[in-house]
Amino acid sequence: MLNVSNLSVAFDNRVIVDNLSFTVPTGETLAITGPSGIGKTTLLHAICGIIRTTHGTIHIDNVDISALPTHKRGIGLVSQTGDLFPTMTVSQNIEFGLRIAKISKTDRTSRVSELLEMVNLAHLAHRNVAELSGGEARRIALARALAPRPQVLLLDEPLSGLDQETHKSLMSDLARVLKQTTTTALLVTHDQIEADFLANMTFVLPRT
Amino acid sequence: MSKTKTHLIAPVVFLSVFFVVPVANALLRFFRFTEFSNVLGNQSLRGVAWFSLWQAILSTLATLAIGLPVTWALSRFTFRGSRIARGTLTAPFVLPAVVVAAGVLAISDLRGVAPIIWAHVVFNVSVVLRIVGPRWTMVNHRLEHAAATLGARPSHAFTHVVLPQISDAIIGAATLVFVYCFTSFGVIAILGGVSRRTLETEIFTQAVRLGNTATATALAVVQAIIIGAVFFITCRSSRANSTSLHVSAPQPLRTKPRHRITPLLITAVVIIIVASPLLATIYRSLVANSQFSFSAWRTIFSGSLPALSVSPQSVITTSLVFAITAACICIPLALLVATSSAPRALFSLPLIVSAATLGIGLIITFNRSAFSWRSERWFIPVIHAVIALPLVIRALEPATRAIPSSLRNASATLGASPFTTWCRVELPLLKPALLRATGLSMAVSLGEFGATSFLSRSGSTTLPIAIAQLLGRPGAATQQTGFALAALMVLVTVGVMSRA
Repeated sequence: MLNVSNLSVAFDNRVIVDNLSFTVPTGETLAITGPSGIGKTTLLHAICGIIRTTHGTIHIDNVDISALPTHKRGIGLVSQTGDLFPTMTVSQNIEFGLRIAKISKTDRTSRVSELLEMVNLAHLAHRNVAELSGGEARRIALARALAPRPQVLLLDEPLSGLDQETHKSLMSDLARVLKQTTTTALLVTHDQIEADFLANMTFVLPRT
Repeated sequence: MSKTKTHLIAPVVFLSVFFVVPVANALLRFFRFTEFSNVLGNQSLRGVAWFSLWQAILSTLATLAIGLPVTWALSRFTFRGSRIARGTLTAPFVLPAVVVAAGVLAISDLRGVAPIIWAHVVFNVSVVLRIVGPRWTMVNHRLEHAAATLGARPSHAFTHVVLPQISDAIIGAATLVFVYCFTSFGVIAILGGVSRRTLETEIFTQAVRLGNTATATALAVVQAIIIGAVFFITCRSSRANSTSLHVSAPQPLRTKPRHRITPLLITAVVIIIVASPLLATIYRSLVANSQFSFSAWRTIFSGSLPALSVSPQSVITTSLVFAITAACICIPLALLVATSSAPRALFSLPLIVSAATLGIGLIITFNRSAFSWRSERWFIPVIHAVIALPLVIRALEPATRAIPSSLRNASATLGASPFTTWCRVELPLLKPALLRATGLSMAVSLGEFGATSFLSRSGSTTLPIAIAQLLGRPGAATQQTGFALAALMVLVTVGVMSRA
């Protein structure tokens, strides 16, 4: 369970997120919607520790993670652009978090295969990430974020900028994967249809 | 013949006559396998080659150890004064090597390995900053964030995500630094003393002082083999590591105060290492025997010195005339190359062939009745133009490439001829780059020491030659005048480059 209490973020005395509180029960998905520039991505970056909060606490399963650095929080992130590592192949990207966690090679290989099957891209295992299409890159980014089995998954507009057909197919795949893995997830989107389709509940971020 | 090919006739002929033919002539006429094996069998010359190699490796490692942290600081962070810091650290690249060496000498009065390495670091930190900096700036911050969300500590994120993306730039910078240090002439001539000789200085000694051209050519071949091997190894390694970065713009720099302390400290320390020799040059030009005095400055502007066969004013005038002449030759040729789409390999050759190798070629090729140009005054700025050409082409290329072809098309549809389009549309857009390129060409000419040493006569003594002569002789007044000339060069070069 993800619990955010009285969270505030400010840059140069400008408040971006103001005293926000919400809870996402284990295995459920909360969609956060709102217009562009309202601080949705900032909120996700604050939760995973990329940017510092000015006030408030973040708990996962009643453990306060507010003071932990990003790499110790156990939170996965799928960004708007995928951010795949350009020097690594598809499998190496997915394997990255497992290598950091010192998982054995056999277990890594089987986990990578399992995730590639899950996102229907097993045939691209050894492909250079520069050769992937937009939709394929998003699927690989999702698989990479899920690989170390994060306690919470943050999805930052994972379907934005895709053509209609890819958007539709990736949306149904994402819904299937979230259900299959029972991951606690926080989805940021400005698309109400996406929010209704993927999340159990929706929260509209208020303007500060 | 295509437009690209006609553009290249003049630069190709120029480079062939004044660079390719002399270098090839030296190697073909004087290279003997027997002399080559004599050189390899000579213990003293083997020692010279070994010293050249290890001092270059040590200098390269020291430059990377000092240059990479400051490159990180200035590529990833912004803070008040970061632009000035970048300018201060990149300025030594266009400063003459003899001036940098004079600066190190001004601080310690010592000669030997440590001052040589210090001078090489001062000179080459800018190479690391210029080559690795832009690549590091382009590495997407979000990839490090992604690595962190996957459990990677900052050190892991650096080694697994950032380093693979900048490694080919680091290898490229290290290769260039190695070649610069391995073929360094001015620094070794001033700071090497009598006991420290490198292949480059030994080629000069054998060819000019001892008249032993065959040995000098054999040494040049040894030097070329080592440089070729280094390029071969690093090219393979760089190709294996190269990656295409799919990022389109530099990332925003982090500005939070807590992020700034380490970069600020690193930048301050490196600025002290780099700038202190240059400031020491100015200090030593004003102080002799613990007494403050302007006498050296008066001497260079109105007096004369027995240590120099010509007056210091004549040296300054000669250097400025040579610099202007070299720029007048180099800029039109570079512009022709930069506006064509032809391969650049030929025009990069002067960067990788040492000045001493070129010097031998020049003195033996242009020594015959019809082409007895080696003693002509005009010959020196021509050779300066050859040496500046690759750098000036690189300075102009980004600007010429940035002009969209749609502008030429629009001009043509309005009735303008290609020449009118070039004069009225393209040239005004190229003006800032042309000014920068002129400054660079003049700075290279003002500081050129290696090839000029082979060609300089008493009537054509340039500033770097005069500085080396003055600093190599005893006497407080003579030394102070040498430092005054070096300080003048610091001020003139920085002035020329800041206005360009």
